[in-house]
This record gives sequence, C-alpha cells and structure tokens, in this order.
Amino acid sequence: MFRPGKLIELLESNMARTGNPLGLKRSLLSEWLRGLPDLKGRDDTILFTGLMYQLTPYIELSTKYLQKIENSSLEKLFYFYVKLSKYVNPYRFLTLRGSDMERYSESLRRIFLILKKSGIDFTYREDLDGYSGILLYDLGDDSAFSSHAQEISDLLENADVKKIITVDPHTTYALKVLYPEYSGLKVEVASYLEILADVIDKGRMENLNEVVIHDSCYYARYLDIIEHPRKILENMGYRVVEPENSREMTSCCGGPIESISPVFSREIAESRIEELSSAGKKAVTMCPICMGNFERCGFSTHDISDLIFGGMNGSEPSQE
Amino acid sequence: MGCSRSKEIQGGCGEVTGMESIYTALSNRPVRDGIRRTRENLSKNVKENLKKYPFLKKYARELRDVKLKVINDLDFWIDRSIKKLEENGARVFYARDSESARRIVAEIVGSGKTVVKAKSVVSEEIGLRDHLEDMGNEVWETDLGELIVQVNNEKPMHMIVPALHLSEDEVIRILERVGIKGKNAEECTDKVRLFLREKFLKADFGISGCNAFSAESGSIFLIENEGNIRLSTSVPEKYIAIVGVEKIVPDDEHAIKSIMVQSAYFGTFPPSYINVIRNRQPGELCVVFLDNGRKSTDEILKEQLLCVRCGRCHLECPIFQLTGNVWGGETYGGPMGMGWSAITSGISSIENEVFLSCLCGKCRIVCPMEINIPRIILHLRKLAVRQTAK
Ligand code: SF4
Repeated sequence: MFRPGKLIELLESNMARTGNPLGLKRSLLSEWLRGLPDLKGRDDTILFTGLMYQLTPYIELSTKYLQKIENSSLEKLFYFYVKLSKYVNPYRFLTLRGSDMERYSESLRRIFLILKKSGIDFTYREDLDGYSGILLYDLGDDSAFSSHAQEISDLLENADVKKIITVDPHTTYALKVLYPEYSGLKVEVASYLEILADVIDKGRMENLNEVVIHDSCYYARYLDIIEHPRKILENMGYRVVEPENSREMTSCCGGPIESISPVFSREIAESRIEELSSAGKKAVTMCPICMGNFERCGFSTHDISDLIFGGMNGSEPSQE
Repeated sequence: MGCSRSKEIQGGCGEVTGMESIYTALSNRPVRDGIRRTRENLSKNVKENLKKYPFLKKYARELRDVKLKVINDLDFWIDRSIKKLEENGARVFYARDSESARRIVAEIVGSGKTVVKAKSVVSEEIGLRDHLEDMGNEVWETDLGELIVQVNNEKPMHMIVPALHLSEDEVIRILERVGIKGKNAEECTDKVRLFLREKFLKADFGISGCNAFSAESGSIFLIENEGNIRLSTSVPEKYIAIVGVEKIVPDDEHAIKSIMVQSAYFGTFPPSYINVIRNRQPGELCVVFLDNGRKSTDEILKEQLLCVRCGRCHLECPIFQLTGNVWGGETYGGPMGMGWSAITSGISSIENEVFLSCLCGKCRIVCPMEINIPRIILHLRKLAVRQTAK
C-alpha cells in the first residue's frame, strides 16, 4: 500500500505545476482533437472532458510500474520520485506506446462526433476544459479539492457557460454533485449518456451483437445513470446482457484503488472480469478508469462510445 | 500546499504500518473461498426473504427513523432503560469505556468461576474473554464457530459466521486440542454439544451481548440458530448482558422488528430461536450498558450507530471478499468496521485502512439501515489528512 500522504503530495504538486494530477504536458492531453471538424457551436453549452480519458493510459502505465514495487523496499523509489516531481516532469522517463494512447483519444473523438451527429449543439474549448480534482477529493484532501473546484467553477461561470456535457462518471459526479456543494457551481451538468438517451431513436440497426454491460459504480450508485446506457444500446440494436451483479449491484472494477494499492486493484478487477466474461464474449464499459484497469489486467472491453459510433455508421468496431 | 506537509507527516498519511496482516490475508485462499461460499448462500437467502416477506423492507425503513430518534436523545433513553430494569429487579451498571466495562464484569464474576458466553461482538470490543481468563476464570464460547475460533486463538472472520474460513479438516484438528474428537462435521457438532452441556451445567455465569433492548419493558432480545444463547442465558444462576447503548429502541415492537430485520438481512429468516429476557427468577440479571465512544460521535459517524449488525455490507464488499475481517480494525471488520472502529477505538486505529477502499458504494446499497458507509470512510480520510496537515 502506498502512503496516502505521499500520493496527495504528488497530486498537489503536479496540479500546481500543470493543472492535471499526473503533471503531463497540456499538448499530450489535446491530441484527441486532431482531425476533428469545427469545434465551435452554441457557446453556452460546452463539452467538458475532465481529462480522464486522456489521463487513463498514463495512469495505467504508472500503475504497471507501481504494482512491481508495492510493499517492497523499492517503494522508497516512488517516494523519491514524489520529491523529484516538484522539479521535473517524471513522464520524461515513461513512454507510452502511441496505440495505447490512441484508443482513448479515439473514444473521445467518437463521443464528440456522436453528439454532433445527434444534433446536439455545443462548443469545445480547450481553455474551458480541465481536471475536476476528483482524486484529491477521494483521498480526503478536502482543502485542495475545494480550491481547485473553485478555480474551475469560476472559469466556467465567467465564460457564461449554461450547460456542461461530461463524458465520464467521476467528472460527472464532481461537477454535478460536489461542485455545487464546494464551490457553488450553478451550471447544469449532464453526462453525454443522459443526453443521448433522449435523442437516439429506436431502430437504427438490427441484429448487432450482444454486449455484456459493466455499470460504473459512480454512474449506477452515485448518479442513478442506469437505464440511459441500456436504452441507447438497445435503440442502436444491441442486445444488452446483464452479468451477475449489475445495475445498482454492479461490482467494482478495482480502478479507484489502483493508486493506493495496484495489487488489491488487480485482485478486484480479476473477480469482476470473471463475472463479465462468464456472461458473454464482448463487454462494454462507460468509464475510462474501468476500461483501463480491466485492460491492465488483461481483459479488453469496448467503450460504449465505440459501440454507439459503430452502430451509427452501420458497422461494429472490430474485436480486439 | 502538500509539499510542506510531508515534513510533519504522521498519522493516516505517514508511514503505512499495521497493514502486513491485510496483505497476508490476501494470499490466504481459504478465507476468500469461505467468504465466497458464505456469500453465495446468504445473498440468495436475503433476496428470497425480501421477496417473500416484503414487509421487511418497510420495517427496516421504519426502524431507521426510530433508531435515529433514540440516537439523537441517547441520555433520555438510557435513563429510561435503567429505571425500567431496576423496577424489574435487575442490577444495572453503566460503563463509559471498555476498561470500566471489563472492571465491572470482573467485579461481578470474581475469580475461579466458570463462565459460558454467547457469541457477542461487544464482548470482543471490550476484550472480555481474555480479561476474565486472566482473572483466573474458565471461559467458554458456546457458539460452535466462535468456540472453534477461541480454541484456535484467532479473530472471528465474520461477526456472524466466525469460522467461515476454516475447512472441515481444520475444524476437526482444532477441536481435538480440547479433546473433542469427531470424524466429520456432524460428529464434531454432536460431540461439541456434549462438551458444552457439561460446561453449561457447571457454569456460574452466563454472559451475552444484546441484539435489541426494549426501553418499554426493559427486555433483552437475542436471536440465534443454535440454541446456545438460550442455555447460556438461562442455565447458570447468574446472567450478565452487555448492551451497547445504541441497541436501545423505545418499545418491544421495535425490538422485534429490529431482530427480524437483522436476521433477514443476514440471511436466516425467521431465526431458529428468539430469546426475550426480562428478569431471572430464580437467579440474577445484571445489565451493563456500554458507551465506549458511542455518545460522543460526530454527526457523520453517528449514522453508524443505526447498524443492526447483519453483516450484509461485509459479504458484498470487494475488499472484505479478499481479506475477511482482517481489514477494518481490531474487533470490527469490513465496511461497517471503519465507522465502528473509529467510534470505539478512535480514528488512529484505522487511519491507514480507510484508504484501502474503492468507495464503490455497494455497502450503502445493501445496508438495511441505508447507512452511507462510503461517506463515513471519506469522512475518516478527511480527518486523517487534516490531522496530518496540522
Ligand atoms: S452497516 Fe448496515 S449492512 Fe453493515 S452490518 Fe450494519 S446494518 Fe448490516
């Protein structure tokens, strides 16, 4: 188990330097925008990625290293690295395969395109996008979380944003539930799944494959977003298979604990993978953390955006 | 910001110690397999119970409201309970902390006595068995699983199914140490019955916890499936009940509802035995009310006091499924153990363990009392971090 205090220290110093918890260069987080058409639309409605899709491949990469040293004397190396992080970008030493990053970028691009295709009018502005601070909150660092929330809220309110579209459960929870409480944010927040559930009509395609659905803990238990993904998938023609433990009883993917204990995280993932894979061949996730943690543990899932996108374009994404 | 903190780091955010046993548990397959088996059986039962008896959900909701009322006015209800018990002719004691509870019970029991115990988490909380043994008494757990754990000198792996991690072979070997010889589980169970019968008959004292206490009639309500509580509380001449003050409900109706909810959400409904003890004649009834942090919780931790100790949150928790009761504090374990350990032993007792949670929130969904356990865990993290920042 890594020391919570050290993790907090690392997060705080990275965020102070770069605004994101891993201390990554901003340009890395904007790669997904490549090749997208016009980002402008109605300017009071914005797409807010919260950076989770962009960060996940890097989180998984570091977790792979960390799991090797957890509970060994090498843990000290990590604490040394925490010290270093104030001065240099530690990701200089870690390289990510392009294809690992590309998967997550592709999902984000698809979310953007699906929304546009469905007639949703919105703008994406890099300067109005940012990390929600949710990890600070999860680790109990209330004061850092609340000043970060204030910063982001001010940014959004000063830009006269009226509606925010989020793309992952953790950011959705932060903006929808925590920000109003911590920084008085008054802007309407909705996950893109909530929005799509209202606009995607029945019967686009028939006879697409069955998919085993993995509900995210935050969507299902904290935000009551349970029916939306099902409705979307079914309207797209997929047959949704419920695994053992689904909907509000969904089992955790282990992801939220990967920074404290990669070992525990893996064990939890493995038991969920067992449940998912015994329900069918193809599983769908709706959170980058779930997808990333399963991937690290050797189980590939489809992001729900890939399935929706595939359905809209009359083809299914290829099976990895 | 965080950087300056590190110099003074201590507590929850400092050196991670005391977590070794949790990692050892992780590689202990029998624990995991035992929990899986128990969970499969019990979860199915709970689902069926709730479908077959839909009123149970209604009771649970009603109970939450009633218990909340009591917890918000504990002194009033404690006074009322004490008065009623005294009217009934019981000897009543009040213990502020576990040390004074141990002392009170030790004074009542003395030394050189034989004591039979019903399985009771609250007695684990105050370390009663060891204390009475140190005072020169012979103390026997009379619940089969708890007896096995006692003989094997370990911590119960689940508060209702203490020996779920042990195989039949292991149990046979453990019981041999106290001269109970059987070839299989059934034989052992029969032999244990004979073994304990002798203890019941010679016991000077019976000791139990309490599942619910009715302030209206001054009665102790206890449920069980083995019949050992019935014997422990009625055969010895003197009987001592240790009652956590949060067990008080206003009346018999809610005491009954409380034990029904507890057993249904545990997974055995109806329970095989329901014991209601108002007085002991002939004999003597002693009741020790225990505070031990319960009266001084903050607003968020207070919600944990609504707990009916059904054990549902344990079996559904992804961390508990891997470690058993090893995670969550000295006595209490699992998700509910976070709050309970903080209440009864202080936050420092679980300052690292609270970080080993996914906050996945399943415990909240399955809890009959709808206790927001993830909120409690997060609250304890905040306190640990704040302490470090000081
Ligand atoms: S916290 Fe809830 S689920 Fe857990 S033991 Fe207590 S009442 Fe049962």
